[in-house]
Amino acid sequence: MARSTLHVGLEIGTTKVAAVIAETRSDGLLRIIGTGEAPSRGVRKGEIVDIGLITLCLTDAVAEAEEKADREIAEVVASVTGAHLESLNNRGGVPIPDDRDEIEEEDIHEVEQSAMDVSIPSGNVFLHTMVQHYYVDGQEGVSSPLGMIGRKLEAEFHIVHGTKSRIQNSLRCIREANLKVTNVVMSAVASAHAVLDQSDRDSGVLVIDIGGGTTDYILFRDGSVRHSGVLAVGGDHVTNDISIGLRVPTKWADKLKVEEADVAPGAVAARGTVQIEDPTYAGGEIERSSLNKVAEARVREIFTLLKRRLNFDRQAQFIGGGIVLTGGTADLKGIAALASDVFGVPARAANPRPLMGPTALFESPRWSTAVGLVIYAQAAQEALEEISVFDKLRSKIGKIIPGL
Amino acid sequence: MITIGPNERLAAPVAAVSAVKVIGLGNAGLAMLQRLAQEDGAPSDLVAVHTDAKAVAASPAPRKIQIGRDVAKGLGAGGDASRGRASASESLTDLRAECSGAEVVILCTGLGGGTGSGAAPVLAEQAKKAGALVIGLVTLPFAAEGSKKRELAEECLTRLGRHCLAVICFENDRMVEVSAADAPLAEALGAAAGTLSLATRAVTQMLGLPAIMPVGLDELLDMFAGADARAHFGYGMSEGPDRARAAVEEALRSPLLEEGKLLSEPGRILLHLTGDDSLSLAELQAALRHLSPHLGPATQVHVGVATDQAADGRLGVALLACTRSGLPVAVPVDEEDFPAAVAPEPVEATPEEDKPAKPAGKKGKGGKKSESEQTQEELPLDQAMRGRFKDLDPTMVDGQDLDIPTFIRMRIRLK
Repeated sequence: MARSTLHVGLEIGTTKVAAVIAETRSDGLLRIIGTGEAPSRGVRKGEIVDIGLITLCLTDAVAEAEEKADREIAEVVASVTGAHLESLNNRGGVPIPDDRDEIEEEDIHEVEQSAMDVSIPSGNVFLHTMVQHYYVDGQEGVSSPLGMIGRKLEAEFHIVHGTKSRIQNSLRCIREANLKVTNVVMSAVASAHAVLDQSDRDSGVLVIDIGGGTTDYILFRDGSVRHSGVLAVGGDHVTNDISIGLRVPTKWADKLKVEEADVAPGAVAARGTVQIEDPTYAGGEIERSSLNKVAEARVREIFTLLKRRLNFDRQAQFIGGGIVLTGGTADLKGIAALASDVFGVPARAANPRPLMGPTALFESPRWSTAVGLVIYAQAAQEALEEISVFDKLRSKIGKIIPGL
Repeated sequence: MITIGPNERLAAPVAAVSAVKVIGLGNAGLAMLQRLAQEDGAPSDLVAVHTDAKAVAASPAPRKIQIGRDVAKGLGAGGDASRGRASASESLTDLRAECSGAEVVILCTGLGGGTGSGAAPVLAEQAKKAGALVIGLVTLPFAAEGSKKRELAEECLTRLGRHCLAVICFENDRMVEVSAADAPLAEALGAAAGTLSLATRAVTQMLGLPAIMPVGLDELLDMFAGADARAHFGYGMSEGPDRARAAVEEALRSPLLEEGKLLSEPGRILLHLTGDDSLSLAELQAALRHLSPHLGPATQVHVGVATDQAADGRLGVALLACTRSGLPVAVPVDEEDFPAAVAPEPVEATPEEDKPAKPAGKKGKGGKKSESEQTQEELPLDQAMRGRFKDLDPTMVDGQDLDIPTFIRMRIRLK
């Protein structure tokens, strides 16, 4: 069954569309066999505003990946982002039927359903229900209740929901490109799969994926997701601020950001200038201190907003793994030092954990979401194969994976 | 806003609407008055206010008020701001009486010392209560004078801002940049005093001279409404066929405008031209043309033109820049104070009627923008500040539009 071993991750980002094709080898290991990338058009702040344009981009990216992998693909796992995504934690509970004592797959499914009995805005749909932990007859800290004896099963879930029409926009443009979407994953969830291992999750970690248009974040405590969300501010804002503040065209603002800006605390006092040489633009000198001030103010603000949104001060002691930064903007000079300064815990910039495949992929934080998608897809499939036919029939793919 | 059609002729001057009074307070203020009085075409309504009896007596200003006769006993305040404040409080009635009838009071003083720092906020408050719009022209101490003085000046500036329509700050450190670094001290200080008197005179002229395109009080209110009350000033004067361009460039080079860099920050600019009858529409257009490349996309330009027969072929260009932070004024504004800021007599009826009410918008301390601002022409302004995000839904968090650059919202000054 060739289909079951091939996983394709498709990230439609604000800056780029990235496609990753991976196959599960016979030994169960994942190997990346093709990647494709195209500059993104028609996406703003993570949301699709022009389906026609973005369809062309993703067709290009997929075609490139197909060519490199020498495979044709028909199905993809897609990531979604955008400020419309929201999350909440909710507890669900079901009684175990009187005719038996042992907790079965069906109960686990039903407890999840009961947790989804929570009011979300009309027009919103559930994207993820990720279990944090179960309670059997009120007893805490059960990670796998299957087969346990009890009268009542309860569970805490982290639930992600978003605006249906916006999620549908993503799906529609993928369909326009003649591909089938088998699963939709929040970008932050995908990125976390790429950059974290189990021990990171267990010790507690905050993943911040700063892309072009959005900052996606997900916080793990004791191995499970406690918070997640999207702030519609990203690297493009840094570029825009530089462009306005230093009066340089966007192209130069972006180059300055990538090559020269330093957002580390203290870099605002940098001396010297950067010379812009461009015959088409009366450039001149840019003060390093001004450049760093503008960039640092923006990134610091992003971190400060997240810190407040997460109520991070109360979480900090449970975040032994610190902050993990990824996404294209994580390449910004000094960003880890700044994150550490704002959050008061250690921070590091991280690339996707190496799998088999082209090494360039694992040397840049830009690929975290796309790589994370194929890891997610493989995990989903493994989970699917492990559990009973009962759930397979209901095709609850992706909603029943413990932990994520 | 004023728009000029290409075929429109500059109209005949109308009499100035405003009764402008220039008050010099303390040593620095009196020095500014003295210099002003020596020049041709100086505004006539000068008032010297000081605790120091000798200094008041020596001032060439036609009106003199010695404050704090009991508190200061005819001497200076000795660098003690509380003594300055007490002196002003002692002479409240005199100060208020002096200000009554003035539509605009220009308060010149130096901050960081005793009389200026202590008495200026009291004086400004009285002027405002008497129904005048108060514009502060203040100098800030040299950095070398120490942080104590600086802190005192800053604190006073905050208090002063509560009662002033705008406070134009002159940093002494920047003022001496007018002169070469190795210029003799006396020359540098003289040049600094010259800049100050130019500024005072230009602001007075804006409001006090017969004007072809008058700068109305409504425009001033509009300029400063919802903005950081600190303003920046540049001035240039030139003659000859190319005088419009030369004067604008000189004004832009002013160290007080940080060599024109400040102008690119979103905000409002008042471009004011003063000249004799030879001033032409083409020159006004030339001035605007030379100014526009220096302005940011979000800058609104107000234009004023005044005639001064004493100008004798010279064209003066004053630039008053009010940088906008997009944030409400940090200083709490006491509600009941504000109606007093409106000129007591109904000056000009129609469109101005509602304008003076605009500062009430500053009351909205919480949000980024008061409601009144949001509904007005400022929308395109905010749009321009959003740059590439201008066509998108704003990302609003805690009442702030995150698409507007952080450094603008946080008022981070760039070099």
